[in-house]
Amino acid sequence: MRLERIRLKTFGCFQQQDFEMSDGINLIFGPNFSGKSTLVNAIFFTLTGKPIVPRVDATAIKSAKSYSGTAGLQFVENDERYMLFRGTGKRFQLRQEKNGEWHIVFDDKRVTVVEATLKDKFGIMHDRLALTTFLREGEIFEFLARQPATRRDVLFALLGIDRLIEVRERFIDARRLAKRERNRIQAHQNSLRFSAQNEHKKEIERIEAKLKELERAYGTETGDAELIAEWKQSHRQTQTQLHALTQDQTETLSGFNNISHLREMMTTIETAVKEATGLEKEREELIQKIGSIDSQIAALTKVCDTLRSLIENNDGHCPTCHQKLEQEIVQKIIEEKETEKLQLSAELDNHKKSLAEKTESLESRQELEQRLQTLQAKTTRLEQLEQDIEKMRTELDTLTTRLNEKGVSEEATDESFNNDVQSAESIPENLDKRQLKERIDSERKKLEKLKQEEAVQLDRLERLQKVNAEAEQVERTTLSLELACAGVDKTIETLQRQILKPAEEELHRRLEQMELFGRTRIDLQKQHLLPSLKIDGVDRSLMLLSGSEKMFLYLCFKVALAKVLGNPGFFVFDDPTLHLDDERKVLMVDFIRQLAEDHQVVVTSYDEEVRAGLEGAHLIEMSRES
Amino acid sequence: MDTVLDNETREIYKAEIEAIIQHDSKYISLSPDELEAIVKAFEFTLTNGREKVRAQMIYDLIQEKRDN
Repeated sequence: MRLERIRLKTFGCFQQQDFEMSDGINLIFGPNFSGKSTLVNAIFFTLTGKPIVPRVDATAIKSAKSYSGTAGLQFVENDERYMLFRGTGKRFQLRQEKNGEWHIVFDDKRVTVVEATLKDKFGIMHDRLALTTFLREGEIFEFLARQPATRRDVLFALLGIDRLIEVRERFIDARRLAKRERNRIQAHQNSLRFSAQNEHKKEIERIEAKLKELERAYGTETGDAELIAEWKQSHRQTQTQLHALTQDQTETLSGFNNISHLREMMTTIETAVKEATGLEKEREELIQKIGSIDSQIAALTKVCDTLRSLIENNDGHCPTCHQKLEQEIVQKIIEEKETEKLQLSAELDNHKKSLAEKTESLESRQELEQRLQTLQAKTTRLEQLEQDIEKMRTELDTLTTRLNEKGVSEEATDESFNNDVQSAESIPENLDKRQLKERIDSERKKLEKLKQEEAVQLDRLERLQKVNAEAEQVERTTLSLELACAGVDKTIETLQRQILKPAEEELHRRLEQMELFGRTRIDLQKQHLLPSLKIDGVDRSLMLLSGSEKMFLYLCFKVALAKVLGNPGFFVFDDPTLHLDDERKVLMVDFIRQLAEDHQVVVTSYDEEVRAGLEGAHLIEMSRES
Repeated sequence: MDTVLDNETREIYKAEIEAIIQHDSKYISLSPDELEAIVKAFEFTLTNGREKVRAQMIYDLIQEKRDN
């Protein structure tokens, strides 16, 4: 933002006046009561809507005899020219120059809307502007005297950390909720906890034992005794069946260790049978071949016999054509046929041998197949038996458990039902059965009551377990929220460090440049923005610095913050050389000139030496008369 | 500054939480889902602001995430 003009109407000591501004340094020069600070105030008021001096009402800065005052500021932002007007009666107007004409782009009286517009459009915020751009009289001492909490709030607002503070507050509220929930669940847990459960159990056991004794004494007439007898009988029958099944299983398994062994054997046989497939075909082929060779041999024998008879019986003549036969040739043919016959006979012997072997293999295979069938039947039988045995065992276990619950030992179940009946019948005759029955009934009632109570307690136990699970959940949520809060605190610290570190470095650089102090070290975080200063390794209280040292430190601090937090692009210092000696005035002039290399600077002063020092600056001369 | 917050704060927060877990053994039992829920709740509150986010919402967000 580059300031071009200040326009005032019934504002402070001015009725209606414009002040031109230029780039670089603008020196507002004049004696006391000439309106220098009013101009500074006008710039600040136009941008923020508040007087530069805190806790002063905006209406107090209008001209004394006027109904209201207006301050205006013409400036250039991003190559666009704007004019801002703000009245002490809260009226705000923003104009923009387009093609040499001014157009109203915003006109409102609502403070929050106006502030939001300025923030969005030009990044203007009151606290940031006050701390990074303007210097007013007495500001240093007010800043030093501020409460740490106030400084912290300002710092957080400047750094945008106030949003994180809000997040933290919400997390703390959520953690409070979790703790409240935890307390509620703990109270519920306490109400459900009870210690009498074991005592009930013991009491139930005691009464059950007593009842059993009484029932035994009373005899088998009680329902339980009849039931026990029935169970015992079933137990016995089941045991017999189980025994028979186990024996059957052992017999079926004869020759095998177990069913797995049997299955292994089956697999081996199956493989062998599979390998032996095709034997029938091979045997048939061999039989056919033997038959064929037999026929060939028979034919050859016949041929040989015929030829021999030809030679021997017909005087060496053919019986059909009566021609004379060559005996030697016929003899040779006979010999050839005999040789062929011998060869065929040898082949026939081989085939017969193979046939015998194949026949034997085939018989073995058939035997194996029969064996496989037997084993398969055995396996099926064994599987069925295993299922039956398992079923019997389960039934037996159930019966044993039932009998044990009734206090009948496993050994006792082996006794015969008749023995039980006999022992039950052997009740001493002197016992009063009616009294015994009454006692049994009374004990049963007690038992029933106790069992009901136990059921209630078990229900409570179940509910308690649920509540415990709920408590664990809430405990974890509380832990999560604790971590969430701690995380926000750490994030605030980190962000603060990240943002302020460059400011510390800039401040350090500028102070070193001035050679005002020795070797300095600055910390802006320790005391929430208030610079903690170490000079040559020794802590130095800011309050003990001289007035000029304070002024230089504070201005450097502003410039450093402006660099980190952002600044409109200009600085306005109201009489920065006040109370400085000649040497320090020169230092201040140098500081302003250096600053003006990158920024527009507006400075007020009544000091001729400053005027001389800032020769070449745009001079706005003020007088009491004007 | 808001831009800085919007772009970097979530990452900083996540890193800070992880650093706290490393240093404080009492948080070690928290599962990755629970940590994710914490970061989610943080983002949600930061984005929507204090006016719109109620404490119960944060509580539910963390509880629900774990239940899921």
